[in-house]
Amino acid sequence: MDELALLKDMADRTPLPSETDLAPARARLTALTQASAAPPPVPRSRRRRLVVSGVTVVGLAAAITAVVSFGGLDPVGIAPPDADAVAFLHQAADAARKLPTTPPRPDQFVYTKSQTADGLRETWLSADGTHDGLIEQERELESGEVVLDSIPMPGCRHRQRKVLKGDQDTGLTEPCTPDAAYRADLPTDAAGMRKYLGQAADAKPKDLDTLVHFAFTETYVSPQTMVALFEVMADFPGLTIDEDATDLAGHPGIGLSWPQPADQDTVTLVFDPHTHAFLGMADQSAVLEHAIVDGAGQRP
Amino acid sequence: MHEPDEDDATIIGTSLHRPERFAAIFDRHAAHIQRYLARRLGQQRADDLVAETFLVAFGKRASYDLGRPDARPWLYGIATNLVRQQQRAEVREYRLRAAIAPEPDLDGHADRVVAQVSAAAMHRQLAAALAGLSAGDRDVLLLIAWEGLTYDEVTLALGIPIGTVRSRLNRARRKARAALSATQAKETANHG
Repeated sequence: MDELALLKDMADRTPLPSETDLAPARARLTALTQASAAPPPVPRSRRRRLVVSGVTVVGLAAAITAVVSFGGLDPVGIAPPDADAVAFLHQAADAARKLPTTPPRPDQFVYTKSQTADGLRETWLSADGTHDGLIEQERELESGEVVLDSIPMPGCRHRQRKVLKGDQDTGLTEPCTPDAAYRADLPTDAAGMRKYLGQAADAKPKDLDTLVHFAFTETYVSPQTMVALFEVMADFPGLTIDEDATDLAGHPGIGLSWPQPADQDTVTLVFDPHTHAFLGMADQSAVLEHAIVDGAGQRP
Repeated sequence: MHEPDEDDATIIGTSLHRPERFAAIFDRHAAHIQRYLARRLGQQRADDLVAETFLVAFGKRASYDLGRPDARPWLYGIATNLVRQQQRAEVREYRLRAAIAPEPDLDGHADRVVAQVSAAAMHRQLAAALAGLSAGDRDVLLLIAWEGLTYDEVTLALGIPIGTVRSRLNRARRKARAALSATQAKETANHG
């Protein structure tokens, strides 16, 4: 046998992975594609002043950071933010200031249930990043059958994390730093938040988008940080408001959008007009439930 | 869901404004990319890096050459770059394979056992030879020998001219052949 044939022989023992083997990697990709999702343009209706009040939840930061991660906006030709959109955000900030601050305990989990393009998704992420979390994600096969992927998220303890293959414990560990779902590190004022997002913009788009989805959308962020995010958003050039937006589950709400780089359509974040809750991104996602629970796999 | 007769370029083009369509590229190519990564770095790293490959590809999709209907060489290029970043891990993997003799099938006929032991010895020598190649030579050799890419596909994957592909392949093959004839000489001496 010549050396090429022998080389091939050497490699033939390696099997092609199955769909199940690849499911965790696929889930990481779809998390990113959803965080970057741009819904088709929504027809704009007449803009009106809104009266809003209520509570806010996380998810907003995802879109803000996603915008910043695309390398910033070219200010030429972009209008100043729409006055109604600014008003909405200031009122959201006022409402957020009144929220009680009860962060999760380190041993608790942030639970998020959302509707995605692939199906239902539930995540349990460790508040301090040291406990083992879980993602359960529906996936549609080519045949049309829907399966549930159960993806363990090992915690990082003493700088070591279990290495899993699929959901099998290999017995090995790898170095790590904890991925805390309770983002106590985020700035709590607008100036700090601007600086934080500006720094994040220097990161590679891949890092930032992955960070955005896992780090913001399914985490717990304090009301002070939400206030800071709303205030920063209110300055976005070209910010506009639209009353006829809906999330993926069809819940009607207020859409906030701003211009994207040339190859992207408008991003629209949908909010409940009465409670201010972030509902999702039109046609891409819908946050159905967001809560703190005591154990991975427990529902509120 | 994607149309079965849409080529990769069409899907990637659509994914620029409908990002969720990019998952179809994963469905078409992830298995081969994962196996390539497993062959070079072992299964554990391969599972992580196949995800990284597609995250990077998604981030770069705006610069994909839409004149190329098949995205697999592009993906091999991204995966190979990630392997480069893990070069020390890869070289350790080959050294490990060079040191460990896989168990021969002892239920087999005596001649087959001898043949298996010889093949194993040659695999070990090849693994040691791979560890000794330069990264560029190893990339070309393995994309051709393990993944069956054509010279043209290797130029797409690695972004190098075809002349460089040829010269790196020749050099790598020479070193592999040298490693094998050393082993064969030793085997002949041992078994008479």
